[in-house]
Amino acid sequence: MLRRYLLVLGLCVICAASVFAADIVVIVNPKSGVDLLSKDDVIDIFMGRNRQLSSGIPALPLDLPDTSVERENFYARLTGKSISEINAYWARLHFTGRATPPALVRSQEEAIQKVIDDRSSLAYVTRSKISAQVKVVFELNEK
Amino acid sequence: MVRSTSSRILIIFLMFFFVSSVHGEQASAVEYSGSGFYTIAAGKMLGGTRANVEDYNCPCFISDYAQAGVYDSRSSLQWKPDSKLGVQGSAAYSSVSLTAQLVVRGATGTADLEWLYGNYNLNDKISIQLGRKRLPMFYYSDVQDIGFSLPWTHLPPGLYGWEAVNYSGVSVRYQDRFRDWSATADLFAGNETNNNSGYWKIYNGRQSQSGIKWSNIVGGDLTLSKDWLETRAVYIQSGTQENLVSNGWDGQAYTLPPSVIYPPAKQQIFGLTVNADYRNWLLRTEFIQIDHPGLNYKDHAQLVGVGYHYQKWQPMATWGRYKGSAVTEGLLPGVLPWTYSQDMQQTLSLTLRYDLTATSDVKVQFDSESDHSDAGYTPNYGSARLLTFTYDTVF
Repeated sequence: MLRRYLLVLGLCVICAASVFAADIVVIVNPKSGVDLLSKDDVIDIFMGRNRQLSSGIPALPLDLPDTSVERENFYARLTGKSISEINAYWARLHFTGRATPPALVRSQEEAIQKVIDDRSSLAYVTRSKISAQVKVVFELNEK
Repeated sequence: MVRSTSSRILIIFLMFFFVSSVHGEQASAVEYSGSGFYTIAAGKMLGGTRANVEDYNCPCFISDYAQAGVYDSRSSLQWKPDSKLGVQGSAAYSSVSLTAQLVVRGATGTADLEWLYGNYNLNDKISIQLGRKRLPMFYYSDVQDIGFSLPWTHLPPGLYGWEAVNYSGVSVRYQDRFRDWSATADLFAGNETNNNSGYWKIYNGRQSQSGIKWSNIVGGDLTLSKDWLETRAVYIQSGTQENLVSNGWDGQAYTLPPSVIYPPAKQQIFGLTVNADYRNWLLRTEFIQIDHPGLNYKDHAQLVGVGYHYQKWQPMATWGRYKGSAVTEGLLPGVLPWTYSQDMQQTLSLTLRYDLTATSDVKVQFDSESDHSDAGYTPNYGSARLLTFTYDTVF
């Protein structure tokens, strides 16, 4: 009986770990004209330093909600900063008209749909969510 | 002058949006947004030089020169010097937008229109802004009221304490990438007139009224960013003029005659910032020098701050200094006897920030200011020790 509990517990731990350690990928529309982005490219686009893709079309990044684990992991792995630090950074740009933060979407599913519908959109989602209708241009693996 | 210029800009843009809205289907393309921020601050003087300076009962700590935010020796907690509330609204239509920001400060007790500008995106790299904006003298000038985006409870006053913080005019921004560097460059021109300067209340008394005028402001800045490093250089030049309108403090009472108009002068401002955010460490350094061609003194100020971000905590130590020094001894032409050679204050600040939520924080800060001005310099506020607490949020 105890062995069964331990097995279930172990599976739960592995399952939970896989959720938190899930690969996050940056996706674009296949018609965006972009095949690959570097880490600096992704930082520049999501931090408002550059809003143009290498193909020449505007870059419209999408953000998941503040409470989302994917958002926390994305910025922590990309920049080493917490969501609070990222928001403080954006407060500086937003209130001074220097740049507009990424558009907010409610879920990974909505982010993926926007990327499918708009060739300028970029989003970060867990790898397990994506389909053949989007293209992966950058990967953020668990360190 | 300021209000009338702002009003004209507002009217132009309201007309633009009205015209847009009456053209049928295009009306739905106008997007409105609103946001805001506030800081609740409490401070208490812990000690310092006891004296009556102007009509302040010191020890005193000047936390915000531009708004005359001063903590004095009252025994109770003081809420006004650093507390503030701001609301911002924007309306955007295609490549054009209008933004207004209203700030209510405890230090002044008034609601001031800090930002009112129209923006036109010429393309993805160039934008043109027209209206009332912050004068970008310093790295944190643009967000001096937004406590959540600052690592301190208030900006280091030795560096950030100047008489003008806004201007009305035009600016052009260029944003691009060069190899691995992100670059943002601004060119700007305009004027600033303030008929009730907070800065000069510190030098002429709380109930005094002084006007300032910065004319023909022309300047530019360049910010370069790469990974964890950010550098910024700025140059500004302008004409300056002060005018004591009424109620000057003569050392005993408000008896100085009104309408003392000082002769116009010129100034050249040079600023340099090097900041780093490397792993959990953050470094803030900033330097500024102000030359006054034809006059016999110059100002310079600097700060160095080092902090460490660990989970939700961020301790930080910051050293700052202001020094106004005489280039030559003598007499400032036609105005003031020049009897001192140095006005200097140094401040050591220890700050602890804790992130409450993704959009709010609490901070506690200890400031120790030491005054190294010459004995002949007045008003001499002396040394001061201050403890402040803030709650900051954006919404």
